[in-house]
Amino acid sequence: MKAKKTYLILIASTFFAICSMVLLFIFSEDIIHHQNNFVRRFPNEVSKVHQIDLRFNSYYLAGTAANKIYLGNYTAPLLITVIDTALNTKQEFNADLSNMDFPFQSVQVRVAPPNFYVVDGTVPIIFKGKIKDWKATVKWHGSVLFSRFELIDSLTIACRSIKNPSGESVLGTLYFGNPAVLNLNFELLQKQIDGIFDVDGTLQYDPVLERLVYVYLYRNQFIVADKKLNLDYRGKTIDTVHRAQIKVAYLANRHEKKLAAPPLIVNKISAVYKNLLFVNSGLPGRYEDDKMWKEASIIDVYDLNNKSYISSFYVYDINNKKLKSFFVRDNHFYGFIGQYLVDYKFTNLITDSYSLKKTQ
Amino acid sequence: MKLKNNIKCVIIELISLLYILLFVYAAVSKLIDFENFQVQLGQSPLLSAFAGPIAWIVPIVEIVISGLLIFPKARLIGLFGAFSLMVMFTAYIIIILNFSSYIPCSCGGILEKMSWKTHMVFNIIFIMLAVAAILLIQKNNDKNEVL
Repeated sequence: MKAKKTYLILIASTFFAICSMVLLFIFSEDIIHHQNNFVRRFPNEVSKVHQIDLRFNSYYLAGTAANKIYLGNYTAPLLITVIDTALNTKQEFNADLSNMDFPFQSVQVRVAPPNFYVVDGTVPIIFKGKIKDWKATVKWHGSVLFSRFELIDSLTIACRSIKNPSGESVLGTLYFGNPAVLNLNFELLQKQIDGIFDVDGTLQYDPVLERLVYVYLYRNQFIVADKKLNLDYRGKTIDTVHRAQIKVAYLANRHEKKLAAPPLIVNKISAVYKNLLFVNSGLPGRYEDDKMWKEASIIDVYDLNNKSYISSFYVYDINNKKLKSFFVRDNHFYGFIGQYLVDYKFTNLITDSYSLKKTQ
Repeated sequence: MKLKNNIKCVIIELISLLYILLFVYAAVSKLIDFENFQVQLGQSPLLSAFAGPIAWIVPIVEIVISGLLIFPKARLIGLFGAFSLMVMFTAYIIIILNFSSYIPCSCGGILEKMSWKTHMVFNIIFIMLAVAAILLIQKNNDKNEVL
């Protein structure tokens, strides 16, 4: 076997191996790219005002009041950061819990002055305290597990819990005063495939409209309900995916349920302010520039009062990091991008749509 | 001369043994937890469309190559196969780390616990071992022809 032949075969094998992987990659990029039958409108109504470097990418919104923004942190669960709405000053506080002896797994804080709350739906437990000294004591320690929750008032949360025995998700409210009362509405979340993965979504509550809004992750629908979980209506987002495109597998020997293929994410994350619903969509529409899709995230705006789509705008990535979560206050849009919190200002088009008129 | 030859033979056998160990372990651990392996392949941004067939093909190819490496006559083919497979695995890691929109889990027993970067170093070392063994065998064959 001559040396030359050996080298030739080695080079040919390398070439063939690399080519086959690259081909596989090109074919499956298709799964990620879905062009849908919808068109967006971009009347250009936001402009970036300011940004603040939080130095870590693990912050989330815990609450707002007057001209203050309260942030929680996923990796430092008891750290509460207070920023002014102009994103200039930053103060840090540490919450003090009366009793740390619980199997915490998913701790989140919420601030609604003069109170603040430390909640873990996996224990499940709710601590309550005053923001003047950031000390909290156990307010409720029950047995109903929940993921996703939002404060409705000082003693009530809306939450996503699980049905017994199927384990499927269900929306409910928990009054954690004394005695605690749990209300579940099994009709709100509608199962399409498995009842857990396919109904995944984000939960929001707006105190002005007094409405709960749940936006599905994998389908073009959102649910609007009142504080008592009565269904107002089911809204539709402008894309065309009405059935969750996910594949769920059950592994009997491991007792695990998993997503068996990359899911098609339709609505990534949402926020509600007054009568407007903001949705960060995962799908490019028709006639949109592919390049924009790689450099920015898109937010679609809907009016919950007259059930209409208003318009869309882009939020630019920073250092190749995409928008992770966001919230809206007055005519400002705040977004968490990487370790930054950015502030975009709306022009009249959006603020004019604000209306305190509730749906009848 | 004979000693040098012996050392070369030992090295070739050692490398083949290492590969047999690696591939048999990897193949068996995939086959034992087969359903889970199929699901993990399905989650990969590169392979999900082909997860069904690939889930069978990979362990079977690993076992076939191990078989070839056992017999000295078939060793060269086995080493070329092992080399190609390792290059494919490494290309997969590089594409996932740099070009795909997200990074899925890795799979395969102990190797599951390695980070993607460690895995790449591990693969490159094995690729170099295969090339070394192939070149050694080829040198030996050359020598035999000359004689």
